[in-house]
Amino acid sequence: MQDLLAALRLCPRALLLQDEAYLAMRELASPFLKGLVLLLVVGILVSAVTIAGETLEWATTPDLAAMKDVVLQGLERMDWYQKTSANSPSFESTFRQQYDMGWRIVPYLFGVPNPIGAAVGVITIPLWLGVSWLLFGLLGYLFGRLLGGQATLDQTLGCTALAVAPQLLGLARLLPYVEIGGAITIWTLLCNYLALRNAQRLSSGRAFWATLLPFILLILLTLLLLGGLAAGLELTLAGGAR
Amino acid sequence: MKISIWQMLGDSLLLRTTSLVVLRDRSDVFQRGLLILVAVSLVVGLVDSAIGLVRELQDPSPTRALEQARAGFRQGMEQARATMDIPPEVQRQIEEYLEAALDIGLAIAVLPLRIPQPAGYVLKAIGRLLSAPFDWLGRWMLYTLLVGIAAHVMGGRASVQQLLGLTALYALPHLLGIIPPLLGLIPVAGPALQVFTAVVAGMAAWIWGALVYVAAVTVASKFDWARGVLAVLAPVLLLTTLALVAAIAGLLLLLL
Repeated sequence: MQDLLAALRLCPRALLLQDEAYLAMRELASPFLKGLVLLLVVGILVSAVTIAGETLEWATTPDLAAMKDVVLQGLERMDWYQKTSANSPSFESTFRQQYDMGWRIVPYLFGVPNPIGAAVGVITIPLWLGVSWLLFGLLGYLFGRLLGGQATLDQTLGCTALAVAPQLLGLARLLPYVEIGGAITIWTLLCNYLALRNAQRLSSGRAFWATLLPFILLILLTLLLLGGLAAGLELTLAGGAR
Repeated sequence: MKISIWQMLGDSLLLRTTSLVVLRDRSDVFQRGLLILVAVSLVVGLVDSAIGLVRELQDPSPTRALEQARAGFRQGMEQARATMDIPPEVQRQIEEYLEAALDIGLAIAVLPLRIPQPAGYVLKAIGRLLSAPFDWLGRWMLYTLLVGIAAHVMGGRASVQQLLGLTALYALPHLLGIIPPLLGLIPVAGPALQVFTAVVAGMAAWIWGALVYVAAVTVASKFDWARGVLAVLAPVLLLTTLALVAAIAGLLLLLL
């Protein structure tokens, strides 16, 4: 328990890019387990806070159904709408169907406040953080070792778990209308670099490549996967055409 | 060698590198730089947010803003009609669509909210204020990361913390950004003066900030000024070259 609290206390120092925080995590007993707990605590905390922010933002916006009706009335008054519905009897029902479907998806793509979606985040955010941590940690460990690193997988995962620290900036989402943008992503990348450098005791240059190579590999794999899917789809379509 | 925070800030603004060297060698260099950047962004954001909030509370009805937008659009259309040869049918359609969009915007703006509007304005102002540091942080970190890579390729040996901690001082001249909105509070200052001040202050802050940034990279990487400038410009040059190559390749593909 004492060790776990010590790991949690390392988080703000890791956020401030202090090498000692990562070195301390490396030397703790079972850093993987402590990293996992740290990741879950931060993930749940930030997503729980987001529910409050989203709810407040939702409270300061008009009802979505009322907005949908207003937009529809506006469209119905337009010249093109009236002409098209006069010429085609089925236009109105088809348009209405597509309009309803669009309103079920589009507003959420543009960040309409969604407290229910934020509540789901209590499960999905820690899960996503966990998966990306394991994936990056494992690849970072492999590339780090290839580049002459000296850490165990346990130590590497413990240190890279500390790179979750920038997610704490998400606590600002307790208040509505706060836009965090790309700051967390870049900060996390820097923390991951420091985590690998200190865990594996690598030089700056080698740590840079150990941090970058997992991303390059993942991008290449994604492109290959997409290419394979596209080729498969093309073959299926060509087979269907025959 | 110890120096006060005020001396360090003043020296940075005057591009005196002695204080930057002292800051570079501190163990909390990143923490200090970060604090300065966040403080400056909050001050600039506070002025913007507070003035915006006061305006919204003074005239809480969104009708006026939308009617102003409608007047502006009509004026723009008049000018376009006088200077460009737009077919009457296209003109009529543009007008119809934009008028309809403004009507829809107006109808949405007057829809009732779940909590009284003043609370919404206050929350939005706080949101704007707290978003400011994140906006600055994201851009600064990304660019500095690229500059750091360039500096390392060029033989610089600054740590991430040193580079970020020192370059964060570029934010200091951007305090000039509070002048235009504050000037707007003076009744005699017309819109033309405000726009002029905004342009001049923006340009001065940008150039001064860039000079501080170059000084920071030079000191952090132990470069001379020429190499410092090159490292700072390297990401821009690289991206511009890549964009040019891509454009030329695209053109060649189209032509062949």
